Amino acid sequence: MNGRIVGLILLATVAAALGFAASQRDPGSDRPTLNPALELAGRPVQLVDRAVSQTLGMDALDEAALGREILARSPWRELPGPRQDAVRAVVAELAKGAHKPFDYRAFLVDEPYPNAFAMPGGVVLVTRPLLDLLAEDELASVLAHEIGHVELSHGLDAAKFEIAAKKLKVHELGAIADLLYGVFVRHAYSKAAEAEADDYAFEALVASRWDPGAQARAFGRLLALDHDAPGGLRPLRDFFASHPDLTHREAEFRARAEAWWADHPGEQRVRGSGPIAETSGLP
Amino acid sequence: MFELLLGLFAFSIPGLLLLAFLWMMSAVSSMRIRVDLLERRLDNAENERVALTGQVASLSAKVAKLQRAPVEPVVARAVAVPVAPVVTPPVAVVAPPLEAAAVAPPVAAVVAADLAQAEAPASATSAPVDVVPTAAPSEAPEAVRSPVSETAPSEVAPSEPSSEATPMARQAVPPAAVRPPVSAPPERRVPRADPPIAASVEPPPPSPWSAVEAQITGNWTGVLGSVAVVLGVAFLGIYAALEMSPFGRFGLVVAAAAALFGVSVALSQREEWTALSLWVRSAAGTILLMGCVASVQFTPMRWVESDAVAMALVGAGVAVNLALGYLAGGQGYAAVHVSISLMALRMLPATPLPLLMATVVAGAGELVVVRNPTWGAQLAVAVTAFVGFHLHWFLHTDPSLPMWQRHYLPVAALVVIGLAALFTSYRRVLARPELRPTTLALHLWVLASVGASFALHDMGGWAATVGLLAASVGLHRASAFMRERGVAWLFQTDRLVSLALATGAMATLYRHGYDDAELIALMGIPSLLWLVNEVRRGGGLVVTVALAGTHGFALLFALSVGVEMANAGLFDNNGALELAATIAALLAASAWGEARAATGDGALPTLGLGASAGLVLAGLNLCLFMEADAAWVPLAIAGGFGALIAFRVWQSTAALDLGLTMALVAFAPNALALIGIGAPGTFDGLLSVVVLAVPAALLAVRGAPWRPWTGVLPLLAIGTALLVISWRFTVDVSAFLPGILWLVLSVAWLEVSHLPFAAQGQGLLKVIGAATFGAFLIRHGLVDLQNEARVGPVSLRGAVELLAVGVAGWWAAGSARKADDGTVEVGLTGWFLEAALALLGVFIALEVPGPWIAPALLALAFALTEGGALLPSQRRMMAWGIVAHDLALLRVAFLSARLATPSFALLDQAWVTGLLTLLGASLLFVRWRSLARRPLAEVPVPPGLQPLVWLVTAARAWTSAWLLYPVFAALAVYLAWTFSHGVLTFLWMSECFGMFVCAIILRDEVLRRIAMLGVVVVLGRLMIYDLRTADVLVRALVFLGSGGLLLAINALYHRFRDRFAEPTEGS
Repeated sequence: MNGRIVGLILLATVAAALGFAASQRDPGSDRPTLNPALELAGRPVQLVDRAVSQTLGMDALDEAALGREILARSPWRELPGPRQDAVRAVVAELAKGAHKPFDYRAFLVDEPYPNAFAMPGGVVLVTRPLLDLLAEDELASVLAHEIGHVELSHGLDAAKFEIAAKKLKVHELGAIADLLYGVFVRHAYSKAAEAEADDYAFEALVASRWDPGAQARAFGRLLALDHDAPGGLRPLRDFFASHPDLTHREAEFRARAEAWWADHPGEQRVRGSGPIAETSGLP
Repeated sequence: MFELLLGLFAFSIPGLLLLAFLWMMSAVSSMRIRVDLLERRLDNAENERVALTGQVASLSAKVAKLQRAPVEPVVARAVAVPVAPVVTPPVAVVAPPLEAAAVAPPVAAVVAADLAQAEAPASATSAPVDVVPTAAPSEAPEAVRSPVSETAPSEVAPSEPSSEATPMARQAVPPAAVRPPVSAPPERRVPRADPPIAASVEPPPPSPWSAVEAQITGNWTGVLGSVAVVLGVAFLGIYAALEMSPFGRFGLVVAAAAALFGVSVALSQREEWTALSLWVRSAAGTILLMGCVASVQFTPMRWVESDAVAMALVGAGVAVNLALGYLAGGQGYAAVHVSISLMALRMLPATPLPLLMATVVAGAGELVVVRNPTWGAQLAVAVTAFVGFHLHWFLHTDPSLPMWQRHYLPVAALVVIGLAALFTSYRRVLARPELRPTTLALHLWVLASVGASFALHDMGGWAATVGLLAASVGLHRASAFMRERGVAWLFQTDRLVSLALATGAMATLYRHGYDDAELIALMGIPSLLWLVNEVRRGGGLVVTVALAGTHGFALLFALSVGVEMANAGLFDNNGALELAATIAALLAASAWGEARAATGDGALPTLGLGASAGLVLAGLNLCLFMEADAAWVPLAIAGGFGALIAFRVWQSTAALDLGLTMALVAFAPNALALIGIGAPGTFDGLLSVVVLAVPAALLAVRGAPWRPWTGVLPLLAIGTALLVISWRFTVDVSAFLPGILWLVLSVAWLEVSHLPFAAQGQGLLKVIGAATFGAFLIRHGLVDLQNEARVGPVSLRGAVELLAVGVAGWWAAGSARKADDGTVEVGLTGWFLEAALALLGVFIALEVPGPWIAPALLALAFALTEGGALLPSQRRMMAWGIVAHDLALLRVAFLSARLATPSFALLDQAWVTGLLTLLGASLLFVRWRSLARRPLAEVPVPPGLQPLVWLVTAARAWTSAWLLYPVFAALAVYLAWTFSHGVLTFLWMSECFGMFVCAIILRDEVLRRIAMLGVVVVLGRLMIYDLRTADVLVRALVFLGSGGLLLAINALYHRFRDRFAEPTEGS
């Protein structure tokens, strides 16, 4: 038989098989968005940015010093108590898989919205309302995401010029360079960095005692709070968005967790039954 | 201890792998070298046999000729045959095989000359001797003919002609190279590149590189032994010095310097020791200077308390050094003494006096170049040393010092040094105006290093702005002067630097309250001014750069205004107005440029500003998109398009077409979303269609490459309908289905185009098929990428991408066609290969775990290399293979240390996969080496991808440079950022050893020198870093390991030194 005919039959067969497989799954969204494409396009930019960071020769000591400085300048002060202890216990467990020589700590801070963020040097800040929203395993996924930012040196990348300039004692130049760099370059890849931290968090959950599906559930809860849910194709907003689309993140990690559970049917994992503040009776 | 164990563990795995690798290479090398030696012995024996045979034949011929009749019959035969094809005997060849052919004609000449000398009358014997050595291409045959015509025997003139007998070839080797009387051997044998048997020719003098290399490599053991002895003696001296007072120690240093000086005087008595004498004298001066500095700065030797005495003492030491440098009379000595003097001054407290002294030293070091214009290195050293001094001085000054001390004084010093350096640089250029890379590099280095030093003195206010503007104006004037003197390259260089300075001056206005958009607009002004100024004088690099700057700042301006609008809202600022003004300005400038071009007033380039105008409109389009709910948005966009189209109707330029196209592309997703595919049937959607369709129609009417054809409209309608129908009826089943169907449709269009009845519309059918594939790509990027559905472990998205790769490959294979002359033509549809590669890239990025992306890219590189070798029509896959290879190495170099994972599994660690990638990349190099030996007919590429041809050709010619050197570079970076700095010296030394072994195996001179350079650098690290910081045990291990490797290098050098011979010219 003619090779061309064979090739055509092969292509048609694969297409038919794929079409059949797709028809057996959830239809998925037909809503166009540039968010995943921009995240993808940001990866080469991120690679170059990391090369610049590496070339500037910063190390863990610089990062820890920067973290201390940012924390000292910030308005946040820790709120000692049972909630902070609970968060610290989760962070301590997650930090066992960390490689950087930091003493990972978590501070509870008083903010009105549920959120968490990481400082360079291993300090993770968690707002009080987050504990009223997420179960323990979901909280672990969020904290693992923040630890991922530290482990992957994203904070260091954001302030590399400032750190380098401090070594040369020309702080202002460094701060300006970081500012300009942030305006013109970082937007291009911040979504890629967030996606990378998401991946780290998923791997951390897999390596822990918690359910890997907790990450998707956490995204789902945050999505429920997002009043500015995306609608339509909005290139500028997608470009300047710092994070990947929550809907997409939720779908991605739900699929990955399902795949993981399919591979590990007999596995026993901890899954929270409600917000940790409730289940643990935290004041 | 734990860290040490961890370090050892981390080191052991790659170390063992590396050592195993090196051992294998070493074994292979020794086997190959043994085989080579055996071959060489065989060659030598064969050469001797051939030479003897030739001599016997020659003697027989002479005997036969002596017995022959007079010359007349021979004349006819000798003239009738070509002269050149005398077979080359190996004894006469001093060049490697490629040159063997070039030697043939002169050999013929000399053979004939010898015979003539033997047999011609006495009056004729001098002729060959006089004529042959000139080796003039046109004269050589005559020189042969003259005597041979009388006496040459029939044996000298074989019947077959030689293609190598070109005049150029005759000129390639001097006739004097051939001495022994030879004759035609029984068979032609191309000798190897071994030393000639009859080495009557002086070997070419070794290059400076070779001399340095031999010195470093060959004397390694001796140098290290000497260093060890000196260190031992030094330790004894330190012991003794500890028993003395500071002044006594200073006296000891002075005595040592004096002793060295005495030695230098003694050495200078003999001419052959002159150079050594000068260096010893330099060492004496250096020791004296260091003693002076230590006397005022370092506690164990400090005996001077008074500042005045201290400065006088150091000044005296510096003066002695400078005097010694000057008296030595060579650039090397001067450079060493200037840099050492400045280094010594760095050790003094950061006060104004050392700064002034340094300025004097560096200034003197620069001005001495005025007297010796060839001393470029001296200028570079003086400037670099001063810049280093200044940086050190500035970082160590007390920030609370008054402004004049901390800023004004050093700025004045920089002005002096900078002006002196520029003056000297200009003098050098005027002395030798032609463009040389070193001169250009030096000039740029002077500008960059001194300019960067100025940047440290950020004094606020208007100082930086004024200073930069002044520098810009100064350089602008200097460039004008250089243009008058006809030094075009320096004119362009300085003009570009002045543009950069002016742009920088505008950037400093940020501190005066200008926002981002205004700042960018201000920064664009110099580009526009330079453009207008230079374009009147014609084209050139300055115009190109200024034009690029104008475009770039216009686009940045549009972007920044867009950001402001996004942040503040459309109605809260005047962003839309600013963008409209930008479009108007760009169009006006475009009109001006085109008008001047139309009048033929000089060779004006097409400014292409219409493209930027279109892009700004695209930006406006995107900005307005933020307010997509407003009904007036499509009208506003339509207004923008209308303006551009009206301008285009008035003045048609290709750039404006491009701008319009880009604006349309930016508008397309907007329109699609509004057509909604979001809310079908709304007024906005309808309006958007009109807005999209009208400009497209106008573009089509105004000269777009579009010709009426009877089937166009029906086919377009069918194509569009199939797209829409397949989407509408399948999207509710799965969002993937439309894309899959569009891929199938794309192939169907292609196949239909091949059917006989479609011959007339084949082109259009292919365009529709390609557009269908394009529609799939857009949909995949906008819709499919967000879909995470899986079938078992497989991502549906990834599977669809692989199907699309197959379809794109189908297109690529179908688009290549054989031309009448047998060559392969690739049209625009040939870009499908690139589309397939882009999809593969997306697949790898999304579906492959982070640590495995580099190995996946390398696997892709292998596949592309093999595919390119296998498929002549897709040969450029080999070029893309190199790109994938480089990307894999980049990831290994820069990401292996950064891809942290909470997993402890070995295969999840980026450093493990990085190591695998590096090993794989080495194998790819081996594969390329074997492929590079095969003949390669052509590399067909679609329009616009010509650089790929160059890439394949270059990689075949310099396989090591393209595929092996990057591996070593990536390995060096990978090692630096992946493993502990304590063992890094040893790892780098291991890498240098590996490079050295590879260089021996490959006979790669450049790689060998890189390896030796690496050894020198690593040795520096050993002495500076490891001695200072490493833990005792680690330090001992590093020293032992590095020393062992050095000894191994030394042993290899002596074992295989015959492979280090300087290659002869042309080999």
